[in-house]
Amino acid sequence: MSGFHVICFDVRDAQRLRKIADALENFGTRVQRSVFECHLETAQMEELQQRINELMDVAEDHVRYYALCPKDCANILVDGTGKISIDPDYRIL
Amino acid sequence: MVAYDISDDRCRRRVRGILKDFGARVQFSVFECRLSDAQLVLLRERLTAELESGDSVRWYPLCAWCSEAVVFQGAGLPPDDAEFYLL
Repeated sequence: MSGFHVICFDVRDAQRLRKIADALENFGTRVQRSVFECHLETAQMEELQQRINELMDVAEDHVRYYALCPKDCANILVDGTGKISIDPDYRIL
Repeated sequence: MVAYDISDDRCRRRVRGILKDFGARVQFSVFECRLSDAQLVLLRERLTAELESGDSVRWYPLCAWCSEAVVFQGAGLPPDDAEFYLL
């Protein structure tokens, strides 16, 4: 079963930021300029972190990973523009 | 954890100023705050008043377990208070 993850990144270089954002597009939904929401299994999460590690500059950039349990997910709030991402593996029929 | 996307520089600075009284800045537009229900309501009202069209503020609650599981890569320091989390 996949878990809900929020990834926030501070990347100094514009080109590097674009590459990291492009990589993250394969894993989740961009909900803000530097925030992605992902519904990932543990192995996928490890793959993502490895990929970002290859793309980032560890001295200049900073990436944070938050894993939210279902109870915390249920209490996410959005003010202004935007929605909470849904797990693409699940559909309501 | 609260993450904001605000296009106007002055609005963004004001939001940062408001959030500084409530928590620690961990990234350019991300704070981690320990808040009571009442503080959360107050803070949301104050921040929403600063938002313009297209701006957003996202609030991610972190229970005790989830707050322990925060991971980061790269330069930058976690909050000083090890017990810091959003209730």
